[in-house]
Amino acid sequence: MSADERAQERQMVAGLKRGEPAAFRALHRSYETSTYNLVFRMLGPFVADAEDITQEVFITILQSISQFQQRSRLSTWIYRIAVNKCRNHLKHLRRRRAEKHVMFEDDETLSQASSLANRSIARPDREAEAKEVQRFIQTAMSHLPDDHREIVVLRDILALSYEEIESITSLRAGTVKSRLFRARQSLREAYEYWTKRQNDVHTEKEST
Amino acid sequence: MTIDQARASFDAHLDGELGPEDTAAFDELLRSNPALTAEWEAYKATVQTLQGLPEKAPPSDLMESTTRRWRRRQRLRYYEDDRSHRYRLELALCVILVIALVAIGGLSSFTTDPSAEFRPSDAVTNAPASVPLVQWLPAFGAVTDLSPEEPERPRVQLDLPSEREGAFRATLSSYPQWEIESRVLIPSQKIRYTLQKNGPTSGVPSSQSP
Repeated sequence: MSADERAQERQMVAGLKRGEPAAFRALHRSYETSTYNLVFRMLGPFVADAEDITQEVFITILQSISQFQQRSRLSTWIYRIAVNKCRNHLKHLRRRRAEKHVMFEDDETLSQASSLANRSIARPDREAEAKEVQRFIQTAMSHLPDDHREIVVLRDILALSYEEIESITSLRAGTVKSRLFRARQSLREAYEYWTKRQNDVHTEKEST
Repeated sequence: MTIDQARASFDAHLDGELGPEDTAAFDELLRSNPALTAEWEAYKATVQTLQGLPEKAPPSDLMESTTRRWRRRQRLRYYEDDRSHRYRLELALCVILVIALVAIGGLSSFTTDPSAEFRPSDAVTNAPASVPLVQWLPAFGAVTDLSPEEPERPRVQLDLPSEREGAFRATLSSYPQWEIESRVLIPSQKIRYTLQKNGPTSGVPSSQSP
């Protein structure tokens, strides 16, 4: 983070502490996409609540900005709020055994993976295939354990450093790395399943 | 380097944290193990796919909806604060009212009309020795003069409700010259006293209290 960016951040925080609407607009513009993406990916099967939770994150920022001492980066603080909101929400939903399983975009579940793989054969161009893989991986991600998905989102989607992830999640470096490895291994297995299915269907089509 | 060690080095390799010797050993192992190579390629492809996932665009009105929600919550908090203030005010008024009622009740016990109800304390403390007992008796109950012919040795009968007996006995204790001749329970929860005075007195008033 450059000195200029740091100065801008300090200015934004000071504005927020004074309750300036312009500072809130600037904050929202700067962090809405990353925060929404974090929440959206972290909620896994409960993506329908992503907008609500993102709103709650920004409201919590407004309510607690006076407590922000600027010991960490503003982004780290915001992501910590977002991660905690998602954790609490997931815990709450799991406790209530909510049946609100709204899946990524097309409501596709992992069990429907084969049909997804089949469809990609019908559109053999690389771009379409890449999109299908992405959709499949997204679906597989929603089936990861919450604490594993959380690390994948922070590392691979938000591209945060291990230090930032440790600070956001309050986990030790070893735990972060082992969870990341296990999560990626699970996704790799899903990826291999997808490519195998795709090859099988492709071979079947060629033989007929 | 073993296969497990190589597998555990996947992330370090991707992050460029593997030293030159470990990298060489890793590459060597991959060359000799096609299964591990396939696994490594799939692992890399998975991570690349994850990192290449398209950004999800937030709803276009996210800021407006957040602001609306924030304002609504602030308004609610204002109303809640207002409600709690009102509640506290109502509670304070109730407490004041209760204290006032208790105080008024206490005061009224000192300001009741003495003729409204005869109290033993009045009889004892207010009965001056100069007022004959017979003048007090109608305040307790129905009095019958049993010795109209003998004004020097009056003898009276008093029918009084049982709840007034205590007051009557307290008053009677101020008049040692009077003796209780008999005490009989009569129907309708009354007690009939027959009293005799050993000394001169005036006659028994028929109706009025002192």
